[in-house]
Formats: sequence, structure tokens, C-alpha cells
Amino acid sequence: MLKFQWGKAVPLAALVLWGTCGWGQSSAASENTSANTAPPPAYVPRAAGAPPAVDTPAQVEALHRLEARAQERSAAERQKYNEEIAPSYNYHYGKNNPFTPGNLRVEGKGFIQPGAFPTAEYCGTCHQEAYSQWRQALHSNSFRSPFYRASVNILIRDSTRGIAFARHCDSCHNPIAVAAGGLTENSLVDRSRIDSDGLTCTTCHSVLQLDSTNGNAGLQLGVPAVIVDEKGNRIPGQVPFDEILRHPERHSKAVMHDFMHTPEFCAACHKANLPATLNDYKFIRAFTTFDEWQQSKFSQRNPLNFYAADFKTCQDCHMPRSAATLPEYGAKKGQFASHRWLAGNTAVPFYYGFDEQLKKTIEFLRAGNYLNVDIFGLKRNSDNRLIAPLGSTKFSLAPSDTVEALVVIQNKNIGHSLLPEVRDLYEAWVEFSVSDDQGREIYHSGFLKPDGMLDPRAHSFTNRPVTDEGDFVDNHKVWTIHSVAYDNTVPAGRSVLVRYQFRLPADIAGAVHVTAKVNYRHLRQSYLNNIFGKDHPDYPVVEIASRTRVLNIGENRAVPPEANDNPDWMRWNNLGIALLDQQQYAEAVAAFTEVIKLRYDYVDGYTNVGLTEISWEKYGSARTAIHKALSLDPQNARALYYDGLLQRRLGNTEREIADFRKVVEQFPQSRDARRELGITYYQKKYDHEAMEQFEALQKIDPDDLAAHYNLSILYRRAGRAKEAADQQAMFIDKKVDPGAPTYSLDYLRVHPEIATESIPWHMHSDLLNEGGGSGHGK
Amino acid sequence: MASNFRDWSRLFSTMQGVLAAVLLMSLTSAAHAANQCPWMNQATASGLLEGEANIEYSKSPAGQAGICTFIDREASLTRTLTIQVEVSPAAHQRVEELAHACGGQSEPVPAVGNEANLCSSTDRKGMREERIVGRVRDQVFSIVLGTSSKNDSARHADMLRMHLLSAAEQVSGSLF
Repeated sequence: MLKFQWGKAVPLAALVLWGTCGWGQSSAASENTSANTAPPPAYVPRAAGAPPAVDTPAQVEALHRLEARAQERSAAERQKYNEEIAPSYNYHYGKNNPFTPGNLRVEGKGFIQPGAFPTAEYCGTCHQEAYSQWRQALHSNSFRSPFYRASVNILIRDSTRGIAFARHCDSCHNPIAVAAGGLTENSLVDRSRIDSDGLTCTTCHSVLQLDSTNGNAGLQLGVPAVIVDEKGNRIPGQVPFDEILRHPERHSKAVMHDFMHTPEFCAACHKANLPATLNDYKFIRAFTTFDEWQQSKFSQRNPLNFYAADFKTCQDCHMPRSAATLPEYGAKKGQFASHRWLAGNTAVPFYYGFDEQLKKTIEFLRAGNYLNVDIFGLKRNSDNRLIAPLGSTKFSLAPSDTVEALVVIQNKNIGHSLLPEVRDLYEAWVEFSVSDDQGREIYHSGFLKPDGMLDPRAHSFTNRPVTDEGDFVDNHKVWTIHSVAYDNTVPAGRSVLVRYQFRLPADIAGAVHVTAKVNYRHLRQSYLNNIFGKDHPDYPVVEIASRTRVLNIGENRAVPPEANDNPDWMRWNNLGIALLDQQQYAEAVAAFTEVIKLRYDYVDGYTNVGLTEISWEKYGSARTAIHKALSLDPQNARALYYDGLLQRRLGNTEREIADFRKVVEQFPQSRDARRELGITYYQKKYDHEAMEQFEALQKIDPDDLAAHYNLSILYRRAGRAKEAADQQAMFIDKKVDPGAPTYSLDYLRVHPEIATESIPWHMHSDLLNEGGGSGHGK
Repeated sequence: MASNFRDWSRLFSTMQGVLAAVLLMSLTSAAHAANQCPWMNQATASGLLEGEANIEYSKSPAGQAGICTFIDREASLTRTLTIQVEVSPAAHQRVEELAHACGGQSEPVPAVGNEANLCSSTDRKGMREERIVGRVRDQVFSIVLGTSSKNDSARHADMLRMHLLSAAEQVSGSLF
């Protein structure tokens, strides 16, 4: 139904241009998360491998007429729409950049009218499973949720910025609003449906092209089409269902692309930076889940991971196939890729009452063996002897013992960091508790206070972005971020070590129950308070992983491992990784050596010793370890990489080049190998070869600083002045501001609880006043 | 007589023209006042009213209510959307007061602001109305969607309610 209102007599009257699509407005309170309960139009799929249906001449003619009408109407409406919208649109960054600071592009010229996008209800007629999942998922609620609105409204109301700057955020959170020209003062665009549906079906399913992995909605949005003609030309707008059902292959060609199955598709929005056009400052990396995945074991693109895994994309974890429970013509053999995108967000389904989504989110967080929590070892009474691995070794405990517990938390099976993306808003932390047999609490870190706030001394996986005055950037006012004073996470495939110290009571008898948990809350309490005021319900806290050990006062023997426990060699390995990241190199080498004792033929065991000693600058012993690794496996890319670095130290350039080339051959998308090989060539003045490597590196990571830096010099040497200048400008924009540490230090100076946490080696302890601990306690 | 008639006709035409111009100017003025509602733009209101809405917005002196009124007049039919927002130190109690003042039953509405209540439809002064009251933190809002005609086919109760909830989502979103 065409719905078009305009006023020649009243040129500034509200315009509602919707094009051909019928409307029914939606809000959470009114919506049914099934598009409709009526059965979809009848459809019998053709047998697998059967050729497409052959149209009669009348059907061909009818389709051509429909196509001609659709093209004409689409063009006319778009032109009319642009004539009305463009004159009052704020082209803050110039007419060629209507959507900056976002990276969104649209097909053709000008804005796309909202009515060009078929509604989710239209799609949901046949795709009822997809619709019901999408309606409860984050994508459909990407704009309207209060958690987003509270933040973006601040930017819109900011007197130095305003709604034009919100194009940065809404390019991903509400791209139809951006593409429709809705993000301008005195907007003439009806927002009710756009805002309710956020990333609707035809947002993702109208993407024509991905730009480089710059993020910030780096993609081209097409004029939506749900079908193509027999030649593959897109027919804009909605078409009768029988046309789609007669040629599902044409429907698929219009709405599906190979790139939609790749992580690069997700990267368009799950990678973000804060450009100078937003903050009037410089490029600041916001988050990059995509790069974290690319560096993880699941991408199989990075030879330097500590562990290996089968190839897995974002979609494999977040859109797994399962049996469809509602009519779903997109299902294959009854299985359908989930449109719930289960991940960590419990806040949205909690707020909207989407009980099924909430339940499945919690199940997802708990089900995947994503983390391993290991109460790895103890030290007693300041004795430096490590009792470990707990469970595999005998030891004794006595009343009044001062105990140091080493808890190793491994990011075992997440394809990105814990937590990814906006750690300033999310809240994950370690809760560590010690109690006796009667449940009497002996020590507790990471508790929630009565007001819901987290124990400020908890070990939490969070960050602290700060302004240029060292103030914490609360409320996600990202345009004010100048530095990150603190950033704690567990990168994919790595581990962290958290130390706790407590004293056993003098009168304790029986056993001591020691528990370590990793808890997660979406979002942190102070942000929830900012959104709702303090009188909001308690938001869910999910225990993702935990481990309890029962330790006897007196003698303790070895006990069988639990089902989720890692084998001992991996427990030592994870300790080594954590110690390496805490720059405790001697201890890390000792830990990795324990791995070798248990697995003498484990190549990575030797490589891990070697790479630690390289960080430690003990190159002689590093060579011994790497040499041993290569003797076990001469083609091992990981060992070859570190050997390349060692050959460089020795000045053996040919060996160095040979090593890095072998790594690049095995892992052509290894950014580290490309970078080092490029450096080697650069140092040898093999400019052409160096350029090749840095250009390849830039394709892998468009923001790599070494690529910008070296290419600016290499291009200049080659007489390519403009390209050199571009690379130089990007380097200057993206390199860290030399003043950034000052802003961070200004923050840390007045926040001792975080300052202590930011020291890699720190202890959580109740014994501060007794001189037995360092700065923590209730 | 004929000349008198022609004179009157001419005068009447002139008056029509003047009236049209005045109307045009007033509508234009109203249109120039368009989009001054801080919680919803005119286009969105027009969409919810399924017509071309004109806006009247009165700003809020500190502590008093601010009110946006969108009116769509078509022939004998008048549809209105009224949004009223006030800041209250006892916002929850104020919402309860307003919900109670609806008369009849009110039902809580999830996922709108901090809290919201939908009032039962009323027939008042010939207008059929649906009302929702709620708050975002200490900002209390009251939204009324109404139609003057019982036979307004676009305005049966379910549709009225659906549009009202959509309006509430818009307003509460702006208030967050």
C-alpha cells in the first residue's frame, strides 16, 4: 500500500514516504514474537539438485511487467524522497560524506527511503522461525533498547556535537535510519518503525558488498530486493509470495551472498574505531572482535597461538544450526541457522521479558566450556615453594597458615577475548571465596554489595577509558576517550593468573572449601543506575565457569580430576602463559619446563620456553629451546617464526628470510609473519619485496601501524608521493598519542584500587594491615 | 443585482483567497513550529496518526509539564496525539497517581521506560482515547492517542493501542 504524504502548500510539513510496503507498527509491549500464527503460503521444495522451475511465457511476461513497475516506482519514489529530504539534511562532512563518521555506503545516489525496506513481518510470513528468534535477539533491539538510547542520546544532546555525529553509532545500530537521512536536526523521517526494528531482515540481507575490514559499518547497503529476474537483475521492493515460492533460487540470489557466511561480514560492525571526525582528536581503537577472532586458534590464520583448533567462524558459534520449531522455508533438512545470535547480552531479554532468549543466553554462556577455572596451586606461610598442580600433589595445611592461592583462568574456547567489545560497560569478574565446613566465611573477594555494586577490589575483566583530564569516561561517552588507563581481559587462547592470600583461622578444623568463579553481568551496575536511576530490578548475574577444591586441614593426597579439568601438562602450560603475560619470565620458563617433563615430545613446550626467553632477552638459551623444537618438527611454523627472530639477532639474514617465508607460505594471513618479513626486506633494502609484504599486511589489518609507517617510506622512495603522504597521515592518526600515558596516570593516581589491579603482579589479600598483603581486602 | 452578485462573488473569492492565505500562513507557522517537540518529530507523529499532523508545542517552565500536541484533521475526523512530560522528584508515586486518575482499570506495560501503565480506552467529549503513563527515571510522561469518530476504521481499539505503545517507545527512548 503506498503511503505517501506531502504538502505542496506546507513544504515543511511532515513527510512520510514509505514506498510500496505495508506497515504495522510494533513495540515490545504489543508484539508477538511470532510474525503471525497463520500457516505460511503452501510450498513444496524441489528435490535437491533439481533444475529451477521453467516459467510459462505468461509468467515471464508477468514478471517483466512487475519488474518494470518496481524499478520505475523505486526510482521515482527515491528521487522524490531525496528532493524532500536533501534540502534540509545537515551535510556536516560535505555532500560526498553524508553518513560520516560512519563508514556506511548505499547503492546509487542519495538516501534510500525507509519504505524501500520490506518489513520483518513480510519476511516472517514464510520465515517464522527466523522472525521469532530475531525479534528477541540483539539485532532487532539494537537501537530501541534503553541501554543504547541512554548512551546515544548523550551524544545527540551534546552541545558540541549533535545528531549528525550519531551517524557513527547508528551506522551499525540503526543503519536504515542513517541511510534514510533520518539523522539530522528537524528530521522529516518517520522513525517509529525504523527504531523498533533496528537491524531488520533486509538490513543484513541487502548488503551488496563489504569494504575492507575497517569496521564502523564498512559495507554497501543495496536498495532491497527479495528476488532477481531470470538474468540476475534485482527487482526492488516486495513481490507477491508466489513469485518467490516458484523461484526460491532467485530469492536466494537476491538475499544471500557467500560473504554472509564469513567473519568479514560480522566485522563490518563488530569492529569499531573512534575517528577524528567523531572526537576531533584522532583515531582511537574502540574494539575489534574480528581481529581477536583472526588472531585466535579458530581462524587458523595465526601460527603463534598456544593451542590449535578446528576452523570455526563467528557464525559457527553464534548462528549454529538446529531443528526449526516453527515453519521456516529457509531451513535445510529441517535445520536452520540460529537468528538468536546468542552471546553475552542478558540485559536486553531481561528488560523486554524475552524469557526464551534469556534462558538460552544463560545456557549458552554456561554450556560451551569456554573458560577453564583452575585453582592451580598454593603457597604456605610465605614459603616460595609452589604446591601444584593441586589435586595431583600431596601437601598439608595447618590452622593459622597464611595461604596464597594461584587461580589460573584460561580462555579456552572463545574465539575472542573475555570480554570483547565494550568492556567499559560489561562486567565480568572473579569471585573467590574460602569457607570452612560450617560455611563460615574466611575470605571473600568479588562479592556484590547490598546496592548491587561490585566489590571495588575484585579482579574484574574490564577497562577504564579516560578523558584527556584523566576522568573515567562513564556512560560510554566514547567521543571523549583519549586513553585507556586500564584494560584487563583474557585474550583468546591465553590465560591469566589471579593471586589471593588469606589466613586460616586458628580454630579451624575439618576442611577448607575454596571456590573460584567467573561471573558475568550485562551491564555493570553503575551504568544500569545511570540509565534507570537506582530503583531498577537486579539484572542477571551468570556464573560462566567455576571450580571448587576441598582442602583438608592436615594431609591432602592426590584426587581424581573432575570432568572439566585440564590435564596437568595443560595446567602448567596455562600457568606459563599467564606468567609470561605478567612478565615473570623465570617463573614462566619454569612452568613451561614442567610441561616438557610431562610431554617431552611436545614441540610447543620447547617453543614456549624459547619465546619466553626471547621476551626476556636471553637469546642464547632461547636458541637452544627453539632448535630443539625444530628438531622435533622442522616445518613447525610457530617455531620457525621465533627462529626467524633469533636469526635476525645473529645477522643470519638468509636464514631469517627463509624462516619467515616458510611461515608465510603456511599462514599467508599471519600478520606477524608478514610484518617481520617486511621488516627484514626493508632492512636489506629489498624495497619491492618489503612493499609486497606490508601491502599484504594491510589487507589483513587495515590499521596496522607498521604497515602505514613502512609503506609511507617505501612509497616515497618509489616516487609515489600521494600514496606515501596518505600512509604517513594514517600512521600519525593511528599511532598512540604520546600524551596518552599522562591521562592514564592522572586517573590511576586517584584510583588506587585500579592502580593496584593494573600492576601485572598483584595480590588480593585481607592481610594488608598486617603487612602480609598488598592493598586489597574488604 | 447581477453586478451586486458579481461584486459579492468577487469579494467572496477575495475573502476565500485571504482566508486561504491566512490559513496557509498559520499552517506554515505551525509547520515552522514543526519538529520542536523534543520527544518525537512531526513525521513520526504523522505516521502514528496515519495522517498529516500539525504540532502545537508548549515548552515547560522548570518543574511544570511540557506538552506536544499533534493534530490530524481530515474532513469530519480529528485524531490527536498528546505527549506530556514533567519532572517529578517522586516520579513513581506520580505515575501511580496518573494511572489511578485514568479511571477504570490500568494495566502495567512492560519494556516502556522504567515503568508504564496503559489506561483503558475512554470516550470523552466524543473522543475515543487510549492513554499510557510512565516514567524514565524522574521524567514522568503521559501520552494520549485519540480519535473523534467511533467509526474511524483505522482507529479500532487494538490499532489505537498498538500505535500508542509505539508512541510510548519513541517518547521513552528519547527520554533515556
